[in-house]
Amino acid sequence: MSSQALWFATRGFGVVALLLLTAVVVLGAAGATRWRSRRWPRFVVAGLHRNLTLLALVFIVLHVVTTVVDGYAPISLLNAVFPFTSPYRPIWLGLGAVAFDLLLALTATSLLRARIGYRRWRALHWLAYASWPVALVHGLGTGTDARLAWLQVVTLACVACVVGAVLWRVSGSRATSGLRRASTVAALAVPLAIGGWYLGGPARHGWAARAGTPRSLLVRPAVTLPAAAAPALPTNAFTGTFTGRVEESSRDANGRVLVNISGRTSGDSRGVLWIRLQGEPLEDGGVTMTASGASYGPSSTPDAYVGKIVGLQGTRILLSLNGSTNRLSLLLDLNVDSSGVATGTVQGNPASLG
Amino acid sequence: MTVAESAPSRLLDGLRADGAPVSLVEHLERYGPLPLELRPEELRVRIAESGLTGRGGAAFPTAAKLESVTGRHTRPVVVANGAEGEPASGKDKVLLAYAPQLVVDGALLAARAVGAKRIVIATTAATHAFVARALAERGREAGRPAVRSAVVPDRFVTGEETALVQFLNGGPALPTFTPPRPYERGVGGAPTVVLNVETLAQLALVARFGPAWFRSAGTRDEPGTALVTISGAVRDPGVYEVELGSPLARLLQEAGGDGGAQAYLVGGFFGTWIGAAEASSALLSNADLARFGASLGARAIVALPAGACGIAETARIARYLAEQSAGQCGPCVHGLAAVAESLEDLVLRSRRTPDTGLLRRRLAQAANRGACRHPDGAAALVASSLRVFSAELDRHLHRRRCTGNGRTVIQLP
Repeated sequence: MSSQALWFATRGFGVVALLLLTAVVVLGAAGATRWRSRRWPRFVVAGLHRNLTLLALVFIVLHVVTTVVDGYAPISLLNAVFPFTSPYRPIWLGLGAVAFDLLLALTATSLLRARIGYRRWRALHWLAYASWPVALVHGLGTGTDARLAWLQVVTLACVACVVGAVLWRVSGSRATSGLRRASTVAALAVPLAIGGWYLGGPARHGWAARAGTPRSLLVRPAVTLPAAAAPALPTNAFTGTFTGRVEESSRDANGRVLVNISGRTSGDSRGVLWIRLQGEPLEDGGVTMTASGASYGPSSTPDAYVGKIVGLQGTRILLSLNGSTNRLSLLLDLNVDSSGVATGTVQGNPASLG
Repeated sequence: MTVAESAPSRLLDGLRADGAPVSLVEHLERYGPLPLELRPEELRVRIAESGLTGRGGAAFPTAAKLESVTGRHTRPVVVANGAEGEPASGKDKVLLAYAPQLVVDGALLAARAVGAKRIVIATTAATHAFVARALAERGREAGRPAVRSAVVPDRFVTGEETALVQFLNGGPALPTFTPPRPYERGVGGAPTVVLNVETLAQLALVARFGPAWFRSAGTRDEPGTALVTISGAVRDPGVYEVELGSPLARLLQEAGGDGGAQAYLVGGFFGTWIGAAEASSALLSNADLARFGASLGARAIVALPAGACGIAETARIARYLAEQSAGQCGPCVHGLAAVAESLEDLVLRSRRTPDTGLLRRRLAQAANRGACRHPDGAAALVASSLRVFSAELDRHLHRRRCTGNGRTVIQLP
């Protein structure tokens, strides 16, 4: 099976699990209100509630397994059980883990109901009302399809069913009026809060980056590299001085040379700069550039910013570099003496990633 | 470019020790007169039975090519293609410089086979003098087709059939992709058959000695010998005549060994990289090279020495091929430049998270979309480099220093 197929399977299993859990919550509320009809005697409601829960668990396990087996996102089985440990969208994936853990706890306590006693089981079973919205937020926060219109309709229908079920459950409750009022407010306020968050977050463009998707996945590399620590470089424009060396290799078989410019910057931004310039030497000592590469960063992470030369005029060099969170353009104005010592000024201009 | 001998030597046999071109007298002593007693259809049958294929690179059956211009309303034109735009190849230049009379023979016989009255021998400036001298030696004979020589620009795409025809008609030496094809309307509007100069030299031998003799070398599907240019890490680079289907290892041995080359570029700069381990069992036939996704192509082989970086070399070749684009098709102009840039980014470490995803997408977008096969060949070469130099590629993907330190050893024009 292709990786693409697994990714589709993951999404499909997740959506089916949401539908099943919605049905489970509605049936649970119906059971609690002792509702019945000729066709649906109470044992049917209870049995269906129980069996659909197990079915939902099966789908959630499939959802987890296909996510882990599909190598696209770096998610392990442990990330699916221990919340907020995933390098991929830690919060939104973590909420899925929370919902999964809660559901496991609910299932385990239900199976052990005879041992732990009815009162304790019943108290614990209230957690089901917490599990459902957490799972929903997980789906909206990290679901690939969360912005699809038909899925938005399905989600709205699910929310309406669950809110309706909870209100029905509360209205028929023999609890104190304070608790009933609080439950009613919660049943209306929680979906409204989720809806507001959804419109301001996942529904808007650029959510994948804000949700904590590793940048490496957004650009789909062949290899995944550990994210470099955020470099301690200024976030505003800066100026400084550069001191270093210029070394030129001998010509290769095609008459090309490699020029290495390496040194340190001081002033507003202290860092290590290394420029590699490949080209054909000119008679006057210059080089026509054919290709280049450059890196800049604090000495602890000299590769914090990587890029190439985008402008070259004499010894004025314009670099465009990419960092983990922003872009940096560096303008160097160098004086190179006959022994290859280079000194000059450097102007840095950070810009946000487009 | 030196000429080396190897058995069986057919085209390059009987060359003078001092390296001067074989004169007409010596040529006739060695091969005898043209078999003008053969009728055109008898010639065509001989060529068909010999199984001779084009030696320019495409390996198209020569008989079928001749057939395509036979029996048309207008008398066809024969063009001998000695443009040899492939920089890694020197075989056509060697043939024209040392044995030009054999090429002229072939052109005359091909003209006889298809009933052509006009022949153009197209060469680069480097070999034009040899052809001119050979034609002068021949003099003018009654009833013989008119032979003229033409100098074509020294450029990669010039040797492409449609580019050559357009140039001979006074246009730019660039491939065309709209019908009519040369066999329908080529030089001067006449049906034109363009044959590589080595193909014509082979044809001259087939006509004289017959299909059975021709087939006594080579394999059943790829009979005969072929001229191969070998360069790079070998001790004695040059042009060798090999039997098709003979081991690559034998050729390397004849070229004085390669001191443990790490890989071979087979088929010229349009070719395919083959790793040393695979190459040890490779045979010089398209059938066997297909195992490695390669073909003999322009019959040029470059041995890459150990210690060089195959990715850096390929980056340089890709840049060259991008510069050689005729500039007619977008996928070629922009695609090849982008492919070269991706490779240079790897070599010079100018990407924060190096990957081949973008490069592979660019390769897919460059191939199979141009008027000619130029971008396809370039894309195939780069794709093979990613396969063969996987260890080196891995170094670049982890932003480690390149083995060759960005320096190249394979020389390009």
